[in-house]
Amino acid sequence: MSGTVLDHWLVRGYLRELDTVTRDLPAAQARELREQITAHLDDALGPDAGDYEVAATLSRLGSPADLAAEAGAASGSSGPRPALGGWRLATLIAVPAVIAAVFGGQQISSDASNAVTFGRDQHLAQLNAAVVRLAQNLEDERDLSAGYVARGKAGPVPVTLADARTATDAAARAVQADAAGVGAGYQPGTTQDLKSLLTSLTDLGEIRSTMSSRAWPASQVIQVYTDNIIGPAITFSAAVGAGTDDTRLQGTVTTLATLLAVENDMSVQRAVLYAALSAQPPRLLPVDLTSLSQVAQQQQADQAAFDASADTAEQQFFSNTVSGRAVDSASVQETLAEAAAAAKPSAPLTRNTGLDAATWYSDMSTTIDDTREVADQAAGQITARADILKSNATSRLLLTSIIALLLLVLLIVTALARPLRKLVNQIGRRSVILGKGLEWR
Amino acid sequence: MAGEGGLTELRRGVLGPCVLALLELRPRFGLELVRDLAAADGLLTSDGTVYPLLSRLRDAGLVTSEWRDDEGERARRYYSITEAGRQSLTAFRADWAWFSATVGGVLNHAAVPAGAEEKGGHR
Repeated sequence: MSGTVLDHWLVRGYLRELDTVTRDLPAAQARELREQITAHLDDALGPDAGDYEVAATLSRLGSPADLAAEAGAASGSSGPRPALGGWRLATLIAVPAVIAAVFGGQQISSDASNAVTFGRDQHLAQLNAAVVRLAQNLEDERDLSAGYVARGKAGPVPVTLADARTATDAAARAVQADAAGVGAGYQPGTTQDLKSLLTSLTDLGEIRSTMSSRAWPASQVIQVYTDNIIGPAITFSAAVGAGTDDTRLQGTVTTLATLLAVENDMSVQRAVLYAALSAQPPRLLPVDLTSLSQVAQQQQADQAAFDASADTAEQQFFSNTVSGRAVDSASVQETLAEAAAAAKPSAPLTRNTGLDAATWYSDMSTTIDDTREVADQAAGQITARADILKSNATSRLLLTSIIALLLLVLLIVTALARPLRKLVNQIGRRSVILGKGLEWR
Repeated sequence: MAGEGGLTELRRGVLGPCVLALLELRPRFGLELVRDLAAADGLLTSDGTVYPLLSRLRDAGLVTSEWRDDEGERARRYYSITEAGRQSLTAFRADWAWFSATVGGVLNHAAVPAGAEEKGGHR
């Protein structure tokens, strides 16, 4: 192809523009026009034509746009297809793209926000399980401490109490570890509850040492543990579902809160009577009898709250689990003690009643452990539910993102389809011209 | 007001018959036609418009084209008038004579030539 004016830079530019403006003409028509124009230029201009001469010839030809318009008007059957103006093309691409971006963005944002929320719920559920364990360990430590104090703190701290303290410390560390990261974005109430709980945990050492150094009565030990630490733990657990929209999760959280209350009521009764039976002489003072009755009444109320919150299966599980010889025996022992103390407060509690501290502690502990089994199941349901919700939310976010990505790719492909088709047409056109060229020669 | 726009429309209308008239004498290739038309002053606004017109005439069956590879010349597409083209040209010549006379008369405020209405009604 050496030595033809078609290689002149002005001609190349002109033909390129012609290709662009004729892209919407029927391919055969555009091809023919190009062929006519190139033949015209080949005939009109020699291979060595100068820039001025070329420019003048091209100028006489008219602009490619005018030629295309003329050809478009000439094309009868297919009708003039108006070239898709830049702005129209932009509108065609931009409008769906903006709509897709807005809706897709909203969906992704909503899904992402859900995933974050459920991520928080999942975190709180794990933390809650740790708090439940901590409350249970604190109850054991409190009840054993009450007995130790009631015995006049005779001898070194018993192994059982030392073990209970070790268990509490481990549970406290677990709570502190899980509490990391709870802050901004979480329910303010939940964050506040957690802060109170973490602060109260720092008091634990002081409570233990004060208990040893000062003449605290058992009732005071019980009250300090209950009000200062166990209370905040139960409060946190009860409100842990505040941030979730999932009614099932909220329902289980409420059920667990009633169980924890019941469990603590039982445990306080264990502490009061264990301290009374551990005292020398074993005696349930009128003030302690009053508090024992009050806690027993509180347990009735909390049990009613549990029945109101729990479904039939959970109620069934409770009555099946919290039962047996030890449970019945503990109940009988408590009634006996109350009756004896009410009849003759000054008489030793163990006389003629067959009551003793170890048996009471053991039987009541069985009752409490049974209740904890039910509570632990509820806590497990909460973490399982939160895990599912988080996993679903993550999957949904992933799915939405993939769909949005596909839509975006589709938009880009659609936008590119026209230029691509043009390119294919051009390649086809060139090969036709080349083919013709071979025939001619 | 009609100015250049009006003239462009007029040119568009008469260019086809002019091309046919040139081809009536002998077949020509593109550039040849363009040069002959350009020689008639004011008939072409731009050289390129001839080509879409040629395609249109060919589609209408008034001209045909064929590649000719003459000795010592480059291959060129030559356009020739068809029988239909000749008939169309003859008809246009008659119409144009009447039309230009009518338009000229009206434009110059001369009396409308007798028989114009008849002829108009006939068409």
